[in-house]
Amino acid sequence: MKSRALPAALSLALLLAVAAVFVPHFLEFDVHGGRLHGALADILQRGAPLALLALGLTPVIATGGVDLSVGSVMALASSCAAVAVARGESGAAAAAGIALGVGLAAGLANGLLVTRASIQPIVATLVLLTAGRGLAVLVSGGGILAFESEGLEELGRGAFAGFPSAGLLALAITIATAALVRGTTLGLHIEAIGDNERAARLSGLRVDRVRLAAYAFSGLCAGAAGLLVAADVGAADASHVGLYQELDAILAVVIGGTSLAGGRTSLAGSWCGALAIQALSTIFLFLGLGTPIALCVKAAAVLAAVAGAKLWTRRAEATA
Amino acid sequence: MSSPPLVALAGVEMRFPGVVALDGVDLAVRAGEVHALVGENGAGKSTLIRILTGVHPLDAGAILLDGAPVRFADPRAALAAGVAAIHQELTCIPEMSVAANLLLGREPRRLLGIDRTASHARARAALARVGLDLPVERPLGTFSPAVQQLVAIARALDLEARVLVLDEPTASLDRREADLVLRCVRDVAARGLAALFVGHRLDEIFAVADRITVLKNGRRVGTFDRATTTRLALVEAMLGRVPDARATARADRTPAGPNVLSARGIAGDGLDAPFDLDVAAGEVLGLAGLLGSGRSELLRLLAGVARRTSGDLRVGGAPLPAGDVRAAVDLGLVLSPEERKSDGIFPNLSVRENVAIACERRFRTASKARQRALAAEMIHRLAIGCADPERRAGTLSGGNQQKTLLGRWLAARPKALLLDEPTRGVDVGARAEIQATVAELARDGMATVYVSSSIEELLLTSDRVLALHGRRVVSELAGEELAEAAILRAIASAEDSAT
Repeated sequence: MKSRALPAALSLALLLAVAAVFVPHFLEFDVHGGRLHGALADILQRGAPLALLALGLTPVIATGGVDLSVGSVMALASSCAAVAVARGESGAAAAAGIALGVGLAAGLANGLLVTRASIQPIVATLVLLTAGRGLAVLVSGGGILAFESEGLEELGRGAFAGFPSAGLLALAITIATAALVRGTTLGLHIEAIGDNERAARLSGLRVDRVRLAAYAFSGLCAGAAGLLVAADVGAADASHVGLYQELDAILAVVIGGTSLAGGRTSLAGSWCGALAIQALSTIFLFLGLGTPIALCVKAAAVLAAVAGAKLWTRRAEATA
Repeated sequence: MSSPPLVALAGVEMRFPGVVALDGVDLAVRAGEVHALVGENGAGKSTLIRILTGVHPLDAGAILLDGAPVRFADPRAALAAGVAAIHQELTCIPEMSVAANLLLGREPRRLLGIDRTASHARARAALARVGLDLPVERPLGTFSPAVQQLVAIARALDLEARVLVLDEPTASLDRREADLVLRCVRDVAARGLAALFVGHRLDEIFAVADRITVLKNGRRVGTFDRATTTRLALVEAMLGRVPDARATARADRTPAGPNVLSARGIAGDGLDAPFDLDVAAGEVLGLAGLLGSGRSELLRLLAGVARRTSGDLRVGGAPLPAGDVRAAVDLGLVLSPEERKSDGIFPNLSVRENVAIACERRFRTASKARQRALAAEMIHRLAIGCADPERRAGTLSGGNQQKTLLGRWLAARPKALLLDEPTRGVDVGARAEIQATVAELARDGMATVYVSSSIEELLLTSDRVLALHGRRVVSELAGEELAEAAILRAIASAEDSAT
């Protein structure tokens, strides 16, 4: 069970090793402004929002659901935070609160649609996938909304002990969440609901409450990811922030060893999966290859991940 | 009635890992005959149908059509040979017209697309064969379920089927609609087709069938002529004879303690007639009845899984709110469901997690040591055949899965245990162990409600038996009355009075 994250961790390590050998200057780094700069630091930094999305999505998928709205919620949260700061009404802390609050509210809305209104997750979260981005454009008034905030800049581009703080933050949140899930009965509840919801109900689990919490957490993480992106760039771009990121996030979760059919899950695996996807992008950037090729390689990675998952379940069924 | 069978199964065997689903079953259906197939869940009816309609290849034995052996690679091959299946659930496309449903994939064509005039005419002709006259251009979904079922039969006839396999075709119909379908089946058979009718309502069986074959545990118990048999004989064949050495395992019972489970005027989904029920500490209450009699529904109502519309339920004196499974578990009232796979086991979780989950239903710090101790205790106590508690529960045999489920509830230390067919699909050894565990729990003061389709098992385990029929409790048997004949009579006479 501990090895569920292992394939994702190995893929990430393998990817980095191959890049270290074949990509010139990949391992080189320098320090200025008290911060490491280089490919590895870049992956940690730029992979942070995706890692957060994947982290939030993992419990949702593990309970047998899916959240397609995370990219749009990310845009909405970053726009709301940017508007608040740009108007000069709130400081960095308030802006962070707004982004997280918006994400949490969106997640709760998704969760209520799924649990109370019994709408299929894919449909329920499609609502916010469309509406969320529309709202984001409305809030920001369209176009790119730039702002100045020292606090947010520190969060987005600052460093902690030389490492990019956004990347460290995402890692810390992942570790804390994993500790919470594994250290309590919550992890068992999540996996049980994903494995057999009817049996979970009969066993006296609060199925609806756990699922609602999973969607709320996913929204919260999307809000945090939106905040990081806005803080990094110093602006919010409602039309482009988080666009298609829900797909990358789902991919990261699947690579991370969580089954789309629900059941067994790994938060650490999702983090590795997200970083592996970011590593791919960064490597292509280093090689100077264009986006089209990067997308094709990503598609191949999707195929490999899905085929791997199929093989895995088939083997599991064969032993059953 | 000496015509050779149109379709026959000879010595058919079917094995699934750990289970013999069919064990040397013979069956012959003549042209012009409606042949009913009856038996409890797990008797092998579905497997037999799947073999006959080409869904499963058979392990041993033969299918004979007109006396010649045939092999069906898939349902299409069976259909091409003239064997058509009518299923319990309606398998039509409700948005499409009656004609389109009837002729799906075989529409008369003309130069451009479908020839509507021709297809409507052909559809009307097909419907006439089942005595229907409908506006064939209307969507099929706008007609009643009975009509939809008749259209399915008409489609089979239009496909030139000679053998109709009807799998509980009336299950989702009310009585009047069911009559319509039954009459159609009789008419169709009268025209020289062979109809194999699977059902569990005895009054329907007696209304439609010429002969009746009873399956039990994958074996053929016997084939009866409708004209010369009785309901009692059928029920006895389905639920089984008690061996002569009558079970008296329950004689040593200490008198029951105070009431643990007390229901007054309970009614709800699946049980319309309000019923009362008391189970004392140390008592095992058996529920007897045929499939569909409401025995499982009664348990589901008590456990809060099904919606309760009226009545008062108390566990150890404390009132239990309606429809709240978690509250029931908290009060110590737990259900081990009949459908072990879909409602009970977490196949991808370990035995440890499967056992511990009810104890761990609250949000709190997890302790693997605690869970492992629980699992080890239950593996030892119930002799669950699994050396490693980290093994995936889905890989266990049926008996061991059932024990794991029982272990889950024992670990939660309940006051009252609702067991729905706890020994179904379980081998003989595990069955005896599970029954012994139930007896031991009763000695320690557990209140148990035990559903079984085997009278023998009920007599072995129960202090009292409630007989159910037609989704209501019809009688109660205790003490001296508690004998096989009395239980069978209670179930069968209820059958008679209901018609």
